[in-house]
Amino acid sequence: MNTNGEVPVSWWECEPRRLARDQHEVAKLFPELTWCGEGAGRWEGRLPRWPFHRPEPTGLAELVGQDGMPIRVQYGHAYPMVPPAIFPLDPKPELIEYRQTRFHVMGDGSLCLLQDYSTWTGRQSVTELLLKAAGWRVEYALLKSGVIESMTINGIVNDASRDHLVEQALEELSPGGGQA
Amino acid sequence: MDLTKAFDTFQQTVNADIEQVRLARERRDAFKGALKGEPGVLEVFGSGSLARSTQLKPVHDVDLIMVFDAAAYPEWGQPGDSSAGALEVVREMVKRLLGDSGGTVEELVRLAKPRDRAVKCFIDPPEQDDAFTVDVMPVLRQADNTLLVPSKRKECWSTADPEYLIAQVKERQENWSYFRPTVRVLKLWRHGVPTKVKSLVMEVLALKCLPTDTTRPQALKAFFTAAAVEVNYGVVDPAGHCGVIQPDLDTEALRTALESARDIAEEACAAAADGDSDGAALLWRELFGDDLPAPEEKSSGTAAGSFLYVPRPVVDAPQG
Repeated sequence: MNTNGEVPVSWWECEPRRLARDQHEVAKLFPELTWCGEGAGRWEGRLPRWPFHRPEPTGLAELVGQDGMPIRVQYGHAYPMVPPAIFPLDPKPELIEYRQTRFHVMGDGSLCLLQDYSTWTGRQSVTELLLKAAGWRVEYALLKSGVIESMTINGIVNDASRDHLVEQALEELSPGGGQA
Repeated sequence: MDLTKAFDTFQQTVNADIEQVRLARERRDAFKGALKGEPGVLEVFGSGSLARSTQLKPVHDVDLIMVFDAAAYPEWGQPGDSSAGALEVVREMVKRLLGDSGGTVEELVRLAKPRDRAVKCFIDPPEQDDAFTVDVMPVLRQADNTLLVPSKRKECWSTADPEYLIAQVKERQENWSYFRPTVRVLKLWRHGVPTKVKSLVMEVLALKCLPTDTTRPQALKAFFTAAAVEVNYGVVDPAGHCGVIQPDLDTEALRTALESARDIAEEACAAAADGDSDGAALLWRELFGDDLPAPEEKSSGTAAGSFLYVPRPVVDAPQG
């Protein structure tokens, strides 16, 4: 309730079909995410470890863990015109990594998945952002292991060029790894 | 309209005529074939934009490098008149082997004129506008694989590495098949800048500022954005030997032009992202001229079919 005693209108009251679409698409591709209708709404839960249309790199489970990354997808009432923010919960980027392009992390700790505001038109699916976030988890592990110096510009949803580095990252992280 | 097709059509108007390129390469190969067998000559290879495949039409010159054996010319590489002497050796060779009256290999060259660093060999009449020339530069190869190149004017030899730029351009082309074509587009764009900008300046800026992992419109937008900043630091030899490429460059004028281009490119990309490809094409035409196809006139009649808006996917869009 605001100072005038008015109850704010949630975005899904204005866009009920959009909420239905999001719930349908997310349930289909990301079944471990749960909708919570508090405030402007959010999704909570885990992303799949490897939701991409190509074989999972050998050793990925060892590198990032069996389970996918837990996240919070925070909507605002300007949705769908403004995309939701996706916060990684484990691993959480370190403070020093905030606002660094090579980590694709915003100043509030959410993921910077779109370089240009104009890319998001409000018509695309939230699942595209979730796929990018799943890719971010893999690249973050590669970056922390030291096998890459920065993440790709466009993410790895359809880019297999870094898949082979997973095994290299494991070697780096193994005891005595990375030493000549 | 289909922006990809529009860019493809535009590219065809930018690229040099294939027959022109073929003729230039034939002439280059004639020089290479004739000069390679001479005593004291170790290598003959092409340099310049034709060697990098970033040439803009019309193709009216070819650059060749002749690597001489330092043992055969021990005085070369020293300050003094050995630079002029080296150019004279090349001039004599070209005249003897390729002179238009009595060349022993081919009768091709009307006039061979030593300039500061190379011998300019006129295949067309010298008084003709845009006469086709082959510039032949004598060099010595140093232990670190760089080259010692002469300067008749300064009476000295200096280090250069033109092969570095050739390799860099080749590497980017392997990463992105539109790299060389887009460099040609940028070289053409410079003709609209209200100050003289050497084509090599654009090529070196492209090396630093043109991404190789996105679409042509996005790459151009990124280029103009980054180059408008980069140009302030000075555009220097990427191999790190020859310093500033164009000492008389009006940096402010070029920066202003790059900033304007950046703004238009941003607008064009935003229009395309909103599904307005006609609006985007008009903006790109504003930047590159009328050779970029215009959108078709809209008929005032009723629409022939239903309009289906397909939002642009974001999975592969650049991240911040």
